[in-house]
Amino acid sequence: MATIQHDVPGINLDWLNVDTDQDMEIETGRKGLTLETINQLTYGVDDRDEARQRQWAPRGAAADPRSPSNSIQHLSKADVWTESAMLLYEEALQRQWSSARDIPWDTIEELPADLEQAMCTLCTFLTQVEFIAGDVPGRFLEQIHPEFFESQLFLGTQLMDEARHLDVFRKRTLINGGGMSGAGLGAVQLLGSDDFTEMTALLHLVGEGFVQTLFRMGELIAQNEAEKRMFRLSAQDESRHLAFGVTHLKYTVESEPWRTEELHHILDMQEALLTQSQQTSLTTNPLTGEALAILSGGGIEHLDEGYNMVMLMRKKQFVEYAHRLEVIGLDRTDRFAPEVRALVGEEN
Amino acid sequence: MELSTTTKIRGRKAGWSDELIERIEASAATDGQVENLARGALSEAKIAGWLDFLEHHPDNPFAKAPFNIFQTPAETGLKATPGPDGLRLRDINIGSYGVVPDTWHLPNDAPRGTESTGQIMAAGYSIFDKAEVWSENAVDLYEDAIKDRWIPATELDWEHGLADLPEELERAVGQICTVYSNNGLVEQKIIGRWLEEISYGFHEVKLFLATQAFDAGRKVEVLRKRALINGGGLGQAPLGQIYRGWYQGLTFTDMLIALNVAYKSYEVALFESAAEWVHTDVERTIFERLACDSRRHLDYGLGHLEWYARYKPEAERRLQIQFLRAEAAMVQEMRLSTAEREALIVLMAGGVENLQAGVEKLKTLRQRQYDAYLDNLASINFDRPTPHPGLSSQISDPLEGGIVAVRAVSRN
Repeated sequence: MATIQHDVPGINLDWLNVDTDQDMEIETGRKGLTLETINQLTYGVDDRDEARQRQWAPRGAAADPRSPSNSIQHLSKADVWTESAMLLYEEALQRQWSSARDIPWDTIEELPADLEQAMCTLCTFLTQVEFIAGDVPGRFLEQIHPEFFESQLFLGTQLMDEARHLDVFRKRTLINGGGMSGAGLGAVQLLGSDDFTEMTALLHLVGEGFVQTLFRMGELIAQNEAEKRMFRLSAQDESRHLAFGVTHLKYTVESEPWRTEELHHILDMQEALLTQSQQTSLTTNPLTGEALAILSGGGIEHLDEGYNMVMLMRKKQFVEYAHRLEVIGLDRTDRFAPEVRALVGEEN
Repeated sequence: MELSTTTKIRGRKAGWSDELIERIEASAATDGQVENLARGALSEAKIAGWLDFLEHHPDNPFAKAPFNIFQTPAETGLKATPGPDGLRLRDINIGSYGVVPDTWHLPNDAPRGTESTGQIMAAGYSIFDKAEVWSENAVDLYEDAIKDRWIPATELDWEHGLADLPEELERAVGQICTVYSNNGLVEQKIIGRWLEEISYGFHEVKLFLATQAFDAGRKVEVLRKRALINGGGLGQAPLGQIYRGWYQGLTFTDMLIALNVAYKSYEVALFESAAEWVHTDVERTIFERLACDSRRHLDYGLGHLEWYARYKPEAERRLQIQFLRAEAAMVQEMRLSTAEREALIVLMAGGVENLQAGVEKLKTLRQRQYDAYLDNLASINFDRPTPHPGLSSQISDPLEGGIVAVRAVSRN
C-alpha cells in the first residue's frame, strides 16, 4: 500500500504494509465457509515439515520479532498433524447437541430394578471416565504450534464433547431413581501420556475406539428412546475423535516411519492391559461387564443371552480395532497377544 | 445354603415368598449373590427367572456374577425433573449429588455423589479446595453456552453480508481479526492446561471451562475466516505481552483474574461496541456473537472472584498485586503492540483521511472499557482502589508508548 500522509503524531500505520497475502478469492461452498475453503496461499498448510518460528503468530500472519517464544510447542508437523483436522472441526461444530434439550428424557419410564441399576452402573462408569478424555487433550493444546492450529481447534471441540458426555451420563443416573453405583479404577492412567502421538494411540485409537463400538451397539442395551439417542449422539462424537486419532497416526507412520516400532510397543503394552486388566475395558470390568450383560439380555433372568451379547461386543471391539490398524498402516498380525488374536479371529 | 436373616428380611420386604426363599436355598446360588439381589429389591418374578437361568446354564460365566452393582454406596431414589429448558445440570444437583464440599476428598476421577469402591488410582489434580475454582454460576453458564452455540461456517451470511471496502478499511478489519484470533488461540491453550489440575468434585467448573475452550476455538476460526474472505488477509500478529500476563497467573485464580476478569472486561466492551466501528453486517453479527460468548467467560471470572474473595482469608492481601500484574500486561500490550489501536482508529475514523477523529473515538472506547472493568468489579463488591495508572492514561492518550513497570505503581 502506498505511504499514507497524515499529521497525527504517534501513528505510523506500518501494519498496513506488512507483507502478508492479500486478495484471496474465496467462494463459499455447499458446506458454507469452512476451514478448508480458506486454506489457501500462505494461509494454507504447505508441505513443510517444520514450523518456521516458535513465536505466537497465526499461520500466514506477520510475526512480531519481539514476541516471546513458546518452548513447549512441537515444531515438527508430524508430531501433531492430520489433514482431516479441518473437516473434523467443522463437522464437530455442525453436530453439537444439548443433553438438556436433545434427549427425550420424558421417554424414560420406570424400569425393573435390575435394568435401572445396570444402566446406572454403566452410566456411572461413563461419567467417571469421559472427562479424563477431556483433561488429557486439554494438556496437549499448548504443545500444538500455531502453524498447525487446526489440530488444536479440533481438540477444543473434543473437550466440549467430553464435557457433554460426562454431563449426559450423569443426568441419566439421576433422572429415574437409580443413582450412581460405586466408582471403579477409572481412566486416570491416560493422564500418564507424555507425548502427543502416544496420547492419540492410547486415548483415541484404543480408548475411544472401544467405547465407540459400545455406543454404536447402544440400540441393544438401551431401554428407551432417551438412552438410544444418548448413545447414538455420543457415538457420533466418538467417531470424530477416533477419526482424528487414526488419521494422525496414519500421518505419523507415513511421514516418520521410524516411529512405527515405538507405536507398536505402545500398543503391545496397551493390548496386554486390555486383555489382562479388569480396569481398562468396559467388557472385562466386572461391574460394567455385569451391567452390560443384564442390559443386553433384558434382565438377570436372561444372562445367557446377555453373556453372548457381551462376548459379541468384545469381539467387535477388537475386530474394529484391527481394521483401524490396517487403515493406519500398522500391521500387527504377528504381534497381537494370543487373546487378541483369538478375538480378531480369521477376519485378520 | 441357608440365607442370612438379614437377606431374608430384605427379600421379604421386596415381596419374596417363602417358597421362593426355599428355592433359592436349594439352588447353586451363593449367599453373596442373593444378598446383593435382595439389596436391589428385585421382584419375585426376576429372582425366579434368574434361578431358571442358574439351573439351565450352570457353566455360564455369569452364573457366578456377584451382582455387586446392587451394592451401591450412593444415594438412590432421586428423580430429577426437567425444567422449561430441558434437563439442565442444575436440575440434577439434587440430594447428596448436589452437595459441593469445601474440600474435595478424592484424588481420582470418581464422580461427585459416589465413592470409589476398591483401590484408588490417583490423578495429578492439584486443586481440591472449592474456593480456588468455584463460582455459583458455572452450572448455568455451562448450559447457556450449549444453548447459545453458533456455527460460523453456515450461520453467517458470507455471500451477501459483506461489502467491498476501501483497502485501508479492509486491512484494518483483518488486523483486528488477526489480533483477536491469536488471542483466542492462546486463551484456548491456557484454559486447556488448567483442566487436569481441577479435581473431579468440581465438575461444573471443568465443564464450563470446556465450553470456554470451545468458544475460544470458534473465535480463532471465525475471525480468521473474516480476515481472509474479503480480500484483506491477516496482518501483524500481536506482540503477546498480554499472554505473559495470563501465564504469570501461577494459580488458577490468578490466571482467571488476568484472563477472565481484566482482559475479558476489555474484550467484551470492545466487542459490544463493534456496531459503532464495523462496516458490514457480517462483522456486526460476528462481534455480537463473540460478545455473548465472552460475557459468559467474564461472568464466570467475576463469580469466581466473588467466591474467592469471600472464602479465602488471604484474598485481600493477595489479589491486589495480581490485578496490578494483569493490568500491567494489558497496558504493555496496548502501548507496545500498536497495530490493534491503529486499526481501531482507522475503522472508527472510517478511513485514513481523518485519523484524529478516530483517535478521539478510541479515547471514548478506552474510557468505556475502563469504566466497564471497574463496574464489573464493583458489581461483586470488589474494591480496586488503585488500578494501574497506565489504564487511565490510555484514555487521555491512547497513542502513548513505552514500557511500564509493575512496581512503579505498587503501594509497597
